[in-house]
Amino acid sequence: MLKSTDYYNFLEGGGELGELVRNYDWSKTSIGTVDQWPLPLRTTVGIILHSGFPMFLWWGDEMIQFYNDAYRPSLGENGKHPGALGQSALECWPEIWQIIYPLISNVKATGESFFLEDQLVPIFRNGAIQDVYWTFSYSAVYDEYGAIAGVLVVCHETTKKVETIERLETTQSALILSESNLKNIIQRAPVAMCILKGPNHIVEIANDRMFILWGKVREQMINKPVFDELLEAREEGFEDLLTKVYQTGETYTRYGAPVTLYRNDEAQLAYIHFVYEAFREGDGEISGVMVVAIDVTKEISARQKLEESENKIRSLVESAPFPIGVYEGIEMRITMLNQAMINVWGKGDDVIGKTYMEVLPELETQKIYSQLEQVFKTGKPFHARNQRVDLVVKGQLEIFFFNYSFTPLYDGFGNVYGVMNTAADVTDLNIAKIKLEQSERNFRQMVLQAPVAMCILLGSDHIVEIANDMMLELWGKSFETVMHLPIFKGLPDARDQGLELLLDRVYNTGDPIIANERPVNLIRNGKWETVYQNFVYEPYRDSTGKILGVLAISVDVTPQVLARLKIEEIVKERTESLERKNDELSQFAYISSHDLQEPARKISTFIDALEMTLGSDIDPKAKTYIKKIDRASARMLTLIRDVLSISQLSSHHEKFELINLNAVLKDVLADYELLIDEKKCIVTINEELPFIRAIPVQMSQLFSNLISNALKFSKQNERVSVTIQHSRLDKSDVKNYKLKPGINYSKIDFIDNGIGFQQENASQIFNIFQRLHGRSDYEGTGIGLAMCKKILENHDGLIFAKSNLNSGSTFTIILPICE
Amino acid sequence: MLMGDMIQNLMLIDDDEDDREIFLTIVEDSFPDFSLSIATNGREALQKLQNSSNPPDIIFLDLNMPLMNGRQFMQAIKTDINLQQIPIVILSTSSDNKTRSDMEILGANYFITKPDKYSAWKEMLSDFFLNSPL
Repeated sequence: MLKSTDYYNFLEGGGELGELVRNYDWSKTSIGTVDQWPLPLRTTVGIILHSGFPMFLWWGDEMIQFYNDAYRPSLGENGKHPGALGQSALECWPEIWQIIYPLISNVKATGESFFLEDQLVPIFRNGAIQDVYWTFSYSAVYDEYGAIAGVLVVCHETTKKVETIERLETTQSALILSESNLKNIIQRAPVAMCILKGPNHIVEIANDRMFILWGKVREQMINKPVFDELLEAREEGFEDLLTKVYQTGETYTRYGAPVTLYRNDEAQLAYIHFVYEAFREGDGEISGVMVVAIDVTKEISARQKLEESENKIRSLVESAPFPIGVYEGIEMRITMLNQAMINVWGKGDDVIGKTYMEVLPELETQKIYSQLEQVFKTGKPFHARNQRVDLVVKGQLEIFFFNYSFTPLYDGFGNVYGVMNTAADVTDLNIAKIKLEQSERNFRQMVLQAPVAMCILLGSDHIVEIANDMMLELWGKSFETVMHLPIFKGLPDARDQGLELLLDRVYNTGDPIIANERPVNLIRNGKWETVYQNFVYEPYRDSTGKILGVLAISVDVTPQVLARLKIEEIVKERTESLERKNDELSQFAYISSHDLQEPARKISTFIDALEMTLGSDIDPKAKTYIKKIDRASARMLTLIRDVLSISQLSSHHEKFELINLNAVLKDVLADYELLIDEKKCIVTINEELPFIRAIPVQMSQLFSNLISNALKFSKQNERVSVTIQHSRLDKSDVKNYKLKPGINYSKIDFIDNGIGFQQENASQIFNIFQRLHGRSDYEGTGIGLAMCKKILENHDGLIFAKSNLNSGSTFTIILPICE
Repeated sequence: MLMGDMIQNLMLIDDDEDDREIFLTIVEDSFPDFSLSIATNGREALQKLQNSSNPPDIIFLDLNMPLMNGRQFMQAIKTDINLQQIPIVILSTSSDNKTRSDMEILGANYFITKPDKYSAWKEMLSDFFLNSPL
């Protein structure tokens, strides 16, 4: 402690160290208290404490230390300060004693100052040994006796300066090193590199990869403006880019830039990743541009191909009418899915981007995952047909059937990257198939249970596929002898009866055949029997309409046919006997009338002869009797002859000929010419008559009877007229009159203005011997119209009359026309 | 020219006695120069013709006769070279067209239906002989 009395001017001020020195207990040191200090010490300490320059003093043999505030930072924090004050040198600097002791000793021994610039003196400060550089001088301080008592250190820490210099030196050496190694580095670089110098981008260094990229040889390019040889690239703007980098120093990077390069004697489009980076000198000045490039043409075109194929696939997928999906990666992530597939899955639209397994967990137990995995791993496509797949649709597990394929998708490098899934929903088909099978079963069941004989014969050999019991019974064969055999092998007795032809025809043409009462001879119960069958042979088709065989349905109508044949036989016999009797009858009529005619004629002849013989001299009464006999015999002759005529109409020996009815009519009118003239009759023919096939004599008889009737039944006081008109009979009338259909008929009317008759008698008049008038009024036998009726029956025609009493009659005849 | 000048010999073939009588009476009354030979059926007539050295100039033939009817007679005479040229007049009560045409086919020259009256007979025969259509 300093007492006020111990106050010394040289210790005034001096900052922190000044105070520390003043308060220091120097009594415990070898130099003793301040008052005991020699003057040179006092003077030196005063200088140190008041100097702004870092100073340090060792004094005495123990080299007790003094230093000032300026020196203080060199000791750092938590270091030797403040302990270094008043401490002996050895105590304070053990770590550098070997460095400083020789220096100190030399100054003490010789008195020569010592000066060192930027000397490394590592010291302990800030908790560690630090490299500290100093520029310092050691100089001797003499005591009052002229002996060297201390060493004054005036120093300046130059650590920062040295470090700056060192850093500079390091950079420079690195630069030198890099320049010398640059060529090697560039040459060995695994990418194309070059350095282009100056504003013209002169190729200074470039590696082989770069020459390959350019498609040039070294000699063409080196030390020349790069774009002199790369004209296409210059055109495409790469020189401008490069110039910009050269001017601004901003690095320019592009990935997959398309550039046209003239390589292998052709302009090629290449894709390049590249970096243009300013190349700076040590002073930071831009001297050129360093180019690093990677030719990714292959990769890009592969990627483009991939994109192209992906796009193709995508459009294919989206436009496809059938379900398509694309799943990528081993996890089967859904990347594409068309609406059809979305619909099939029934899982909503939001499935793209999810994995197959996420969307369709129900397929895990259905082996489908492993199919997908196999395709992805092996690259072999997988196809399934008619595969049952159960899908959960709207929360409900439903059965579907699909034809589906898993096809591997390859990327540009030939690696499988995904699987394409195409599918066809054949559920409906399968259901249809199942239904078809069901209906097929039903059909077979129906065949077996049918109440008629049925069988199915398959193929061109007509192999018995099914035959029901009734059919077996009809065949007279057991199940074993016919089943699954060609029908004519199982049923050899049916051969060569024309059935082969029928079955073949149905099988080959598909036209069904219907047969009625077809006799087939078969061995049944050990003997030949004729079986009459009504059968239908129908083509038996599959669902596509292809003919598989013949379905035969047969009904055994043998008893009916036999019964009918029996009846027919009886009818035939009866008919024959009836015809015989008819013939006999008409023969009888003919012969009897023929024979009756003779005596009648004789009576007539001889009455005449008698009258002539008697001459005029005769009793008037006798004359009357003779007249009566004469008339009766004449009438008898007429009757007989009419009966003869009508009996002749019944014999069918007359020939049908094509005749012109106009000619017939003309002849008949000629025959009646006298009577027509006598009655002053007007005959009108309104329409030409047709040609028909008929028996000529009968037609002339017919017309003759009708004309003669018209003339006969005329009114006394009226001019007689007969009109003959002809027309085609209406089709509706053909039906009304119950005539044979499909034939054209002619309608001929004979219209007179005679006495007529009551319509109620219209049908009676055609009966034989039917007369409506007294014999005395109108001559006639009552046979004429009966003959007409018979003639029209012979000609498949019709006759009817329409009349009113006293107002004429119309006789209409209908005859088939010969077209 | 009158047929009567040429016709001398007649033959009538008819089984009917009355008709033969009427025919004969009329010929005798009206044409006394004519000679008339008579047969009652075809066979008899054929025999007479074949045995005769003086064949008739014309034959009147009935059709409906026993033993050999008119049709059979026609067939026979038309195959006989010596007789086939003799004109034949069919004299029948049958007057239907079929019989007429059958007989024409067999070679008959004329067809007369036996009249119902004596007067008609006479008229018919006179007419025939005077204005022979042959």
